[in-house]
Amino acid sequence: MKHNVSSVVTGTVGLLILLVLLFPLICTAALSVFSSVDLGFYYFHGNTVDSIKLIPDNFTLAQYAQALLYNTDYTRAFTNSVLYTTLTVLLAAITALPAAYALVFCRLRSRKIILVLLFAIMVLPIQAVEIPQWLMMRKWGLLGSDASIILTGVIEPFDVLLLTIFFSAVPRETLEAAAVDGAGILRTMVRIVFPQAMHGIVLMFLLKFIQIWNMTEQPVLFLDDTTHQPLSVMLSALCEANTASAFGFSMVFLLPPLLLYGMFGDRTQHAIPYSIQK
Amino acid sequence: MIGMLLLAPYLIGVAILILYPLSQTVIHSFTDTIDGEQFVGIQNFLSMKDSRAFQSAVSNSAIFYLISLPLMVVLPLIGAVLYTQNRWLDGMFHHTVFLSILLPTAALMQFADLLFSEIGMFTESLCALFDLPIGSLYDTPLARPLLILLFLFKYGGYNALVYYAAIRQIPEERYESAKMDGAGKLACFRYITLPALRPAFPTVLLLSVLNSYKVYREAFQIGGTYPHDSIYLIQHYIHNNFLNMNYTRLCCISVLLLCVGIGAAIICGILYRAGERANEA
Repeated sequence: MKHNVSSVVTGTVGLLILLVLLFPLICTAALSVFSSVDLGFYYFHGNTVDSIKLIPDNFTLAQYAQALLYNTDYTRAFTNSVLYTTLTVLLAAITALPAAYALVFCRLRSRKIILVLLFAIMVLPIQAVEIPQWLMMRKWGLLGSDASIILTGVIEPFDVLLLTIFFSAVPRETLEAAAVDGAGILRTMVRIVFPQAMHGIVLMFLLKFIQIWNMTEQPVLFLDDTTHQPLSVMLSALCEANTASAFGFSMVFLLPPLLLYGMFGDRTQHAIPYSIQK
Repeated sequence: MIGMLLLAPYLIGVAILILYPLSQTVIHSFTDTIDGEQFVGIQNFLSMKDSRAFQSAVSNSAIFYLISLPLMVVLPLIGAVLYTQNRWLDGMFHHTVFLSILLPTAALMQFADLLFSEIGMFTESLCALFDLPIGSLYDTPLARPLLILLFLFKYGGYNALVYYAAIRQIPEERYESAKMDGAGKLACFRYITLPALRPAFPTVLLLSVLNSYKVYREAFQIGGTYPHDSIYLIQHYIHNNFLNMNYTRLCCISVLLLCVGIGAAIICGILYRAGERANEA
């Protein structure tokens, strides 16, 4: 690639855009190690913020300590988040993986209709589905229960559709070979198809985790008790109540999805372009 | 067949948790109360249409979409093209965009507060520029541009990723042979990049619309249940009816959204088919 003027120009512009995109995150990370004294002095002194100072005078992990140890509201909300997210993702896997497998590999007469139906449901606004669900939960007395959140989070057309895209990429020959060797449907599914489609399965898990971890509409609607609310809902209220620890709170909230992306993100890099094509 | 058995748990879930509530809602939008059996036809819809809050919500949402959707389609495209042009930036793109997507709304809003709220860095200068009273920018007509900016910032990354992936699919040889024929950068873009991106546009549009439902989170952070007039969206209308327990209204608006959603799906399907046919030609 020739290093010419246009290359340098696009490079600089691109770098600037990158910085702008990342700046809120950089800012949050930097301010998460400020002591409350520093925060008060530079930012929350009641008058206009003059400039964004990123290097603290006193480096401290107090905000993180508040988040992880001392602030019981935060730890409870955090635990709720972990609970809801892991349960929902597990249940989603158990129901969606076989369903996607069946849609791709089993000869079903209603296959096209089901796929179209799932797509139609997927494009609906969240609220169009949520309100009816809420009304139903109310009628059945399930409002306020953890089950309402988990169940509504599990059934989501996007997961199955995403998985069908990746399952269809598995070459038929592998399946035929497995059938010749006498493998039953279950064994073919688990031992043959899943390993081959692992990119897509990991992507589905990752996206689902991030989605449930960040969900706010459903808990607000279905839960009334703040002690049951996940952190995604409570974060803003907790930050307002504890401005000195707000940035640390945000960072800790970011950590689980970030860690997962760090561990599994590379595997999904190839998966995303493929799924976009389909 | 065993296929149906594998599908069964999921389909049962869909039937109970999605289809049944939807059908009940459609039915109840035509009755007088949520548990009532008195069929009142489209009267509920008519009374909703006359409500000032509803009209405000619809027009604000429409304006929001009219401005932000084109931006959401075009700006990430420019970004993606920029990044694929430059080898230095290429590797960083994926991770940066993902990181910007991961940032929770609360954190983004905290940062936005540092810039735009009562104590914000830009507040005074912007207020002076637009001749507004000093105070939080969120209570001024600047709320709408701010919301659109936040929306683009938070969700533009998804679209950029889609474009980026689609551009990477284009084989390098096409550009090389075009350059040998003397094509400049603009011609390359017009005749190679754009046509190859055609199937990406419906996806991007769909993603943008799906993510726009979530912009309520940012709007709620800005203004609460009754924000500045210009950003009172349909989601606000829904939420407030919910708080006021106007269940019949909620049914009506759900049915309306259902129709919009189905309409959007049909349009997507048509666009996708058209794109595929154009690519085959």
